[in-house]
Amino acid sequence: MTRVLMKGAEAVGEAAIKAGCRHFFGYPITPQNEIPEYMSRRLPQVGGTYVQGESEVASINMLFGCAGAGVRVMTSSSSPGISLMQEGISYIAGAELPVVVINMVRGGPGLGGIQPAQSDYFQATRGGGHGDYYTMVLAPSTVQEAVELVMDAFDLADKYRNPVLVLGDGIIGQMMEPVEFPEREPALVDKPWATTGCKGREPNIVKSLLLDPYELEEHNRKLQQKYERMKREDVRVETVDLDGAEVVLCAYGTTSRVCRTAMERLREKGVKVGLVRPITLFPFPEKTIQSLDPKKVKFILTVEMSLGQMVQDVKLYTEGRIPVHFFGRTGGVVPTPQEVVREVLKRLGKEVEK
Amino acid sequence: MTLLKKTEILPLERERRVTILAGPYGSGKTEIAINRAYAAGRAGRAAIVDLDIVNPYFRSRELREEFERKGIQVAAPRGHLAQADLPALTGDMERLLADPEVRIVVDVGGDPAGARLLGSYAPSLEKVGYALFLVVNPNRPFVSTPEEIETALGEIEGASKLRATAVLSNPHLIQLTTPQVVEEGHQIVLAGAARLGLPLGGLFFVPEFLGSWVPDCGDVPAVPMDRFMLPPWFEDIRRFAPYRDRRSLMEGAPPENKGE
Repeated sequence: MTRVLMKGAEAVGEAAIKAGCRHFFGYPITPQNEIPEYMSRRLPQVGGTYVQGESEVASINMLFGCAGAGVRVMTSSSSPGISLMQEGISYIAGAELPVVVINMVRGGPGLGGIQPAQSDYFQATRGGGHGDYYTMVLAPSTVQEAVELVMDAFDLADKYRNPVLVLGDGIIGQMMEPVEFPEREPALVDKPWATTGCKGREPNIVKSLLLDPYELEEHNRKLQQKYERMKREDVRVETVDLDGAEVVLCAYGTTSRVCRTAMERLREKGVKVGLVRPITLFPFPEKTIQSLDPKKVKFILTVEMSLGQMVQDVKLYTEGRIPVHFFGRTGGVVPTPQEVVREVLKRLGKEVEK
Repeated sequence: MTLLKKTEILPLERERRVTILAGPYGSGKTEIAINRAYAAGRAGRAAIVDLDIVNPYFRSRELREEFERKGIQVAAPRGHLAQADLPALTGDMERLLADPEVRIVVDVGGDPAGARLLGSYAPSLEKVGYALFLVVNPNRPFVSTPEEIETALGEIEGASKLRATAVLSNPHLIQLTTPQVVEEGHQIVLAGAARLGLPLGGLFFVPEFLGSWVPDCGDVPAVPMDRFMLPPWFEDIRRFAPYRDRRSLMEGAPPENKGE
C-alpha cells in the first residue's frame, strides 16, 4: 500500500472504483464537485461510464436503472441536491436495489451556503423520502475512513439490497489527508433478481409499485426485517475513554475531531471525559448509549454542526437515565475545541476562562 | 546546498515584481503563496491576489485579517462574495499591477481551469515582469510520475498563456512527511521538470514535520515554510490513524478491541 495525499472527494471517488463501481451519474454542486470531476477522469480509464445528468432527479433515476441491471453504481451530491434525489431514493429502497449515495453536507435550509454542516442528520437517518423505509448511513471522520466506509458501503448495499448513504460534510470532502487504499478485491455477489436479459429464465421485474394493500404491507414488513437485521449486525461505533468518564461527548464526523482536541484540553483541567463517535448513524449505536452508567456519567454533551438533531437519538436511547445536553454551531460554522471545553466546564459548574 | 530563510525572496523572484503560483489543485499553491506573501511583506509593500475560482474552502482570502495586520494588501472578493462558489474576480489586480512599488503574489486556482484566468492579465503581466511557478507535489493523484508531471504542468502552462519560469517542488504527505518522502518525491519532480525543460525554483519543506532535518538538493534552494490552511481541530492533525481492521468498531465487539 502506498500513501497518497488526497482530498476527501477524490478519495471517495477512488475508493468507489476500488470497490468495483464502474458507473457514476450525478450533477455538480459545491462542496463536492471534485467527486464527479474525479469520476469523469478516472471511469473512462477503467472502462466505466460517467454521465452528468441534466439534474439530480435524472441522475438518481439513472442509478435506479443501473442498479436494477445488477452493477455497482454511485452518485454524489450535497444537501440541496440530495433533497432533489429523495423521490428516487425512496423508489430504489422500495424496489430493493443496492446503490451508494454520497452527501457532503453544506449549510441549509434551502440553498443555504457552501460551508460544512451536519444539518441533514434528520433527513439521512429517517429515510429521507416518502414511505416506511431507511437507508443505511455511514459517517466518516477522516479521509482515510471515508475510503474504507465507501468501500464497505458497496458491500453493505449488496448485503441488504438497500441504498447506503455516506454522510460527510464539506470539510471531509475538501480537506486533504494522506490515505492508503486497502488491497482487497471487490466482493461482488450474484444478483439473480437483476434485469440482465431473460434468456432461459422468467423475466425479472424491478419496481416499487404494489397496488394490493396486503401485498404492500407484506413488502413493508420484509423491509423492516432488513432494518432490524442492520441493527443486529452492522452497527459501528468508536468509543474513547468511556471507563470512568464523568462527562461523555457524543459527536460524529468532523465534530468528533473537534471533540478529540477538546478532550485533551479537558483532561489537562482534570475532567474525566469520554467520547462516543457513531460511525453508523442508522442503525444508531443505541446499545453503546444504553450501556453508559448513570451513577458515573454526570451528563452527555452532544456536539453537532446543526442546532440539535442527533441529540434526539441520544436522548431517545438514554431513556432519561442521564442528562443530555447539546452544543452546536450551524450554517457552515464549525464549533471550535475551545467552545466545547467552555460548554463542558460551564455544565460542570467549573470556572470558565474568558 | 542553498538554504533560504522562511522570509527570504527566492532567487528567481528577485528581478520580478509579480510571483504567480499555479499548478494542479492540491499541490500546495495557497500555502506557498501565503509564505511568499509574508516574505514579500518583509521586503517592502506587498499584496496577495486570490484568483482561486476553483476551490470553495481553504483559500488565502480566509487570512485577510492576518495579512492586513502585517500590512499586506489582499485582493479577493469581499463580503458575501468571499464565501460564494462563483467565479468572482476582483478588479484590484490591474490597480496593483499599475503600482510599481508593490510586490505581488498571485494565488491561482488549480488545474488548467484555474490557470486559464491568467490569460486575461497576460498583457499587463508581460509589461510588469513576472515569475510563474508551477507547484507540484508528486504524492498527489495524476502527477506521480515524471510523464504525468510533464502532461499536467504542460496543460497548465498552456492554459495560462504565460511562459512558466520554473517548477517548485513540494513533496509531502502533511503530518506523515519524512525525509524519504521529500527526497524521493523531489527526484520525481526533478525528472518531470527536466522533461518540460524548466529549472527548479525551490524545494519547499515544512520543518514542523521534519524537525531539524534539512533537504540537500544541490543548487536548488531549499525553502522552509509554515502552514496556515489548517482544519478547525488542527491540534489533532498528528493523530492520523492509519488503516486498521474495521471489525473492532462493530457495536458489541470485545471492549479491548474497541476504540483506541
